[in-house]
Amino acid sequence: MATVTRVPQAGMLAKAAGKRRRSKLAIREAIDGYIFIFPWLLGFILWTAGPMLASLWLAFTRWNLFMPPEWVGLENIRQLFADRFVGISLWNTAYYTFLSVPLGIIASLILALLCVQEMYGRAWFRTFFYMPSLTPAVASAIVWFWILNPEVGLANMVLKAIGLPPSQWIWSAKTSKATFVLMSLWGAGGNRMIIFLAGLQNIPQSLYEAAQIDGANAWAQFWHVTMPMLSPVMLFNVVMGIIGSFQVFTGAFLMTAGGPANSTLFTVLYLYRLAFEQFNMGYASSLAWLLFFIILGFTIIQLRLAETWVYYEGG
Amino acid sequence: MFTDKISRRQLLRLSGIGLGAAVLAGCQPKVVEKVVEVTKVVQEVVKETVVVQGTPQVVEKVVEVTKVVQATPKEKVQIDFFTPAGVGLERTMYTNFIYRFMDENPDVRVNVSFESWSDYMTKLPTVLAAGVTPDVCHAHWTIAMDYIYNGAFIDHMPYMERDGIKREDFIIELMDEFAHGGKQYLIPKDSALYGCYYNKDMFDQYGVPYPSLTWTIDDFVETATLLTRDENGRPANDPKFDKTKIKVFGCAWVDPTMAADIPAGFVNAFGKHWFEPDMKTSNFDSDAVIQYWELCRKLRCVINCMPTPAQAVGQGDLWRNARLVAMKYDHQQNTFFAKQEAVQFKYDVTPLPAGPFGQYAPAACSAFGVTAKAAHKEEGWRLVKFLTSEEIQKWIGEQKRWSVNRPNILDVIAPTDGIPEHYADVHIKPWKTDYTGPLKRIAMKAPVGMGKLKQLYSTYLDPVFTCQSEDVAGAARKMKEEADKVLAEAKW
Repeated sequence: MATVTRVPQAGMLAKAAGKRRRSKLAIREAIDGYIFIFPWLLGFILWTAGPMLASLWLAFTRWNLFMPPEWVGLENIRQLFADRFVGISLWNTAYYTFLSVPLGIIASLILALLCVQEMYGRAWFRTFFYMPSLTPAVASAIVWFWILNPEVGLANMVLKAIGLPPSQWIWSAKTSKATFVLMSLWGAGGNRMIIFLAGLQNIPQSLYEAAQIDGANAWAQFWHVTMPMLSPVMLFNVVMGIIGSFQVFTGAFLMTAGGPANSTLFTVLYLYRLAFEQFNMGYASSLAWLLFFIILGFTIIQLRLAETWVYYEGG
Repeated sequence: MFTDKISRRQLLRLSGIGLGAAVLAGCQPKVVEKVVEVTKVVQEVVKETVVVQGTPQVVEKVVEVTKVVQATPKEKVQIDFFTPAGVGLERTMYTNFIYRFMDENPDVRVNVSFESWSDYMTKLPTVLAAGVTPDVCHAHWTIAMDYIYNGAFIDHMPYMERDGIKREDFIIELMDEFAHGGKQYLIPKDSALYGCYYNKDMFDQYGVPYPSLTWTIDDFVETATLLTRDENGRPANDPKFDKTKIKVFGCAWVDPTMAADIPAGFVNAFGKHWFEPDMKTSNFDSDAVIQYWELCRKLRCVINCMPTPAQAVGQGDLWRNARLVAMKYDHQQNTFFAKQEAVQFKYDVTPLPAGPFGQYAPAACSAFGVTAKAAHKEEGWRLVKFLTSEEIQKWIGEQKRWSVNRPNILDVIAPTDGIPEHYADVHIKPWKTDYTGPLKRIAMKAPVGMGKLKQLYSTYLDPVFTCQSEDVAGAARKMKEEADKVLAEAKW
């Protein structure tokens, strides 16, 4: 029997050897990569993905924390649509979100625009604006209690000084939500301002110079250069702002407990009450998933709309 | 001397491996302690059948056998105790109690988890949900029935009967807060006995007579009105009284909810309790409750002699700081703190005012109990029995801050300096077994579903007590309608 032996050509041998070498390197790289991400991956699976999946299952059960969960099918979902406190809490949260996010974005942008200017003591101003966001929520709640005190608070003193009637702030159902929106501006100089600042510093100076040569004034430069170049950062801040504000909790938990008359009963606060005060963890989980889908929906809408207004340089 | 440097990649890799190993090590199953058996060779007489000359005969024979005489765990039994006694004197006191308990019970080790009060209500359900059930824990009366209904605690009656502990040894009204269907699920850990504290200097300043021990709700309204002063010193019943510039309020506000201790005293004085005895139906639309809520609305929104939350915020204790209110309802701890803070005014205490259906002395407490999923129920019960025992309660009472859970040792809480003058009339005498005076004892018992009821209260009564609505009867009717549905959910 004849045996045919194929003699590999020199080029093929070199290619194969190279492939082997690259393959070893790739495996090593991959192992290193997995080792590096292992702690995070483990944490994510244990503390984020695991509980999320567990809560998804719980959303279809009745669980009072003490007895084993009991499967109830779609009962919790049906109840979500019949529970008026869900409606109240979603309305309160939407009110807060759709006022606090735009106002917060504008405030952060203004602060970032101020802090990007070349001026003496700029670093100090940046630090000064950023500091309130570092204040623990409890401490800032106490400060706000003093500021908003209708009798002796700073806020009413200012109103009186400019001839306006005093307000009951968080102690009146009529003004409580708006007050929370006002309080949310406390953090305007925080991370959002820093991100805007980074975005502003990345805009090439040459674009402004070109605009100036074309006769653009400051407003035109802002509107036609700064805003388009900043739009990806703006999108990021809007998306993160909406995600964060839909989860508003701490202030209402500490300062108003959802009152007066449920006017600050935000969704996460109601969820907390369902779970830990009314021992209805299954129903609370279903509300958590409702909130998740609402936030997801808004995020998708924003990303779709982004195609119409966000400018990616070179993209 | 190391000459080879570790590269960043190597460092990261080693860190990753180390962290992963640590996580895996932390997640390994708990090593089960082996039981050490103590054995002993003993002689025993056994009967043995032997055949003697073809005939079976039973004979007795002494043999040596090895027997397990004691199976002792290698380590002590550890019980977990979850309590909100997280700070100050209370923490020190309970730490000492636990050491003493462990001295007296050398086979038990107590692992205490001291929590802050504000976190406790969240942490307890969280640990229960996580399956980390403490053997013994603390429950406040407002949530106790929800926990009991959901099977969180064992019935302590069999243990009490076995150890000769009677319900009557304790203040029975407090025991009833934690009992259902002949079962005792928790044991009061101390007590809070309420009265009305008043600043005598303010009464003197405005020429208002001190309240008597048998004053009425009408007297209370009149007193609070006369004590309420604007910045010009005018009382609240003066036509020129300026309600926008109030300097002193007659009385501090107590949220008139079924989840607070004091209001029950007023509601009962008007003739009903918040709930029917079976806790299946509420009385929110009864004349008694409506009269009480109307009284509160009037005091706050019409006469302006009780501050709104906005008027009271951020000013510490309104009574003890001697600036904003002349009277307040509180339990015996107010005397303790008044002395701790060395208040510079004269004060006294009197019972809650009498209504058409009598005068009531409210009380409340938290309690300790062995949990249903406790790994060591017997040892848990020993700890509960110890902490609620007469000896420990005496020690607690002697601190003059907390009252005791037993009527026979109430005298230990009396102030040594005799101040305030009527302390015993309010905080001690009415709670003694042989008391025959006019005060009726009442301790609040919460129904199942208190969390939902609080939500409803906020919905319907907040507008009334923030002075946005005057329709008390309408709010009461709506509250009743929905509250009864909540109460009906409890199937026991």
